[in-house]
Amino acid sequence: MSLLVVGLNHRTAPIELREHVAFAPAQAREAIQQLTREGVLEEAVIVSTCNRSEVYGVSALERKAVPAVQSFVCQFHRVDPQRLNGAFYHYLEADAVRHLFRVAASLDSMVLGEPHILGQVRQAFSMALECRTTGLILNHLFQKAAQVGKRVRSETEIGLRPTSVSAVAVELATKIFGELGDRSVLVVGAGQMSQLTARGLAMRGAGRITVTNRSFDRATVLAEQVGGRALPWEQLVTSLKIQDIVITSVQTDQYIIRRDVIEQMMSERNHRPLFLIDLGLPRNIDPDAEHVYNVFLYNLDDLQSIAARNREAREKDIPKAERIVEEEVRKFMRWQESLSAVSTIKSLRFKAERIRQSELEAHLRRLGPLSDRQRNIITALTLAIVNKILHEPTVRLKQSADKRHLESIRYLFDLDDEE
Amino acid sequence: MSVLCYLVSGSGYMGFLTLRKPNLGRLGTGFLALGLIVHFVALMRRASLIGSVPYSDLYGSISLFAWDLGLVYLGLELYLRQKSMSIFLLPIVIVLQAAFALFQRVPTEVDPWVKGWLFAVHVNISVLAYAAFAISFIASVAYLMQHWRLRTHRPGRWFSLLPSLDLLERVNLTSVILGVGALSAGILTGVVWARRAWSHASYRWDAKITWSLLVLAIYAFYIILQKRRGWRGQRSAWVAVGGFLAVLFSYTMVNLFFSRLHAYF
Repeated sequence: MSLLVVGLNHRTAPIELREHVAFAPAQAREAIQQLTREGVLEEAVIVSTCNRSEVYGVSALERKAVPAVQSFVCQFHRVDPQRLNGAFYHYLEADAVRHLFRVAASLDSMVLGEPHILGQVRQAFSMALECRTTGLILNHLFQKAAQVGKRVRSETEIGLRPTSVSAVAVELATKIFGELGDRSVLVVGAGQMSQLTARGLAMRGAGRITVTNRSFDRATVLAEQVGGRALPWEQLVTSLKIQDIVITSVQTDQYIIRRDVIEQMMSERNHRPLFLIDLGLPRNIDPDAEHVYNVFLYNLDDLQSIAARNREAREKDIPKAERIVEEEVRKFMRWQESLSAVSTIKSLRFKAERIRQSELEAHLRRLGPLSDRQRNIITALTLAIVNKILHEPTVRLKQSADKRHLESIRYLFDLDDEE
Repeated sequence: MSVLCYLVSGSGYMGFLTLRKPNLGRLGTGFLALGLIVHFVALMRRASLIGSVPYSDLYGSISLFAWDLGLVYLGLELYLRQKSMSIFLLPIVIVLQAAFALFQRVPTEVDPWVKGWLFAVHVNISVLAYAAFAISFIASVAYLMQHWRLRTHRPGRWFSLLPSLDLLERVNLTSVILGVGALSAGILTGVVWARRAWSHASYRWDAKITWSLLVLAIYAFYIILQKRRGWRGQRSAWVAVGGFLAVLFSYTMVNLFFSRLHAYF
């Protein structure tokens, strides 16, 4: 029995190739069922995202398992194996465990620490659960992988601070305003980045979103896309009175919002804090406006350099995350070791022997003075009973290939605490 | 004992904020609560030893202040589910309580007039006001730090741990209101008690009252500023800092040099 992973990812295969061997959910379902039905794998889970296609499995085929899975993938997607030469990687046993844990921790992602992969790993596992293609080993493996992912997220800064311009802007907004529930957002212009930011703010609960553009029709379309209202261009300046967050990205060679306008509007809005995000190139908002009281002005450069610094901070925490992964790999391997027949029998016998000795001692004390002969007979009696009872289970555990028996024994006799 | 609990609590919080292990955060909160209980017992024992309120001297007053500070903070933490301000607070509590534990002497004789429930209320409520002002000070400093980071476009490590400007402002206002209420009640009970304790003839105005009224005025000014929004935010945070400096002055200099009646708090 061996644990293995075969797959390819963004590092080993270009996007054209990854597209070919990606498993849509229905395909993944079919593939894991075929793999287990045809006896290539005993247990199977497929993790397929836009950056990776990976088959996790437990196989009885030993050395032949990896090539068998590879050719299965080629056949399944009708891809010439020649094309995939060099794109496939595979890991066995502890290395396979480590690989999955690193994937779940987002250490293997294209964007380090991106949050989606953990959910994708979980989904892959629950699909396999539904299809009943997992067993003892993969069940434990994927549960642990989800835990590793969570641990890395909560204990390191990988995935903590945002690394994209729009996410940085959203974080800044929450640092100024706290809850965004009753805040208004004005999107000026049609840049893609400002759309993303507006959507990010909406996802964090921003109350009202308004969109304005030189062409009102275009504003209406954009407003629909982000779930907001359209505003005529002429009202841009007066509307500053009620906005809390303003995102601009307009092609222009003069500032669309000047400092004196902001000063006037700030006094009309009672100097409530105003967060201005200028994503335009050249800039849309007079940079001098950042000196106005309670105005927070960020331009594209500011946001980009914060994003870059955050990326560095994530990278600094890689060793810490790797340590967590290693720790969990060791734990998993110890668990798997405990599933071997030999170690289970050993701890079962150890437990029985401990019970026998303590009971024997206690009862001999109660019996009082005995001759050596009597004492020996009683001792032999206890030994015989224990050995007779444990004989069958011992033989059968050695013969059985089914790990579930081992687990049952460990559970029924509470062996996992015996060291 | 309580110092030990606070130390464990402080390192728990520290660990939580730097290593981001949630259990360490819980450890911090748990040991802070334990520390407060132990501290309370200690205050009570001191009281029965002296046969008076435990804070009729400098050491007792410091210890009571530390206890109130921890208590107000704990309430705030549970209410806001925000542990990040502990890094400012726990060091203060630890230093105060450690100073108390190291240097305290049990006074052999107590002035006969520092007894009675009105006196106890007066002291307790005044020290509580100081603790609330201290929390307001911490929130102001955190606000100013956060504000500076936001304005200079330099969000850093602590930035992501500290709460939002909005929340800090609300914490500040809440504790100032609590403090103003408590200090007003403190002054009132003090005056009433003083009139009872001494006859009208020997009762005289005390410099401490003047200072306390000044402190009150500063914080009242702060509350008014909150309504006038051109002063909200950074500017009013500075006012709150100024208010706390006045509190410190009142707690130290005024007690030592100006006041005849308020030696220790």
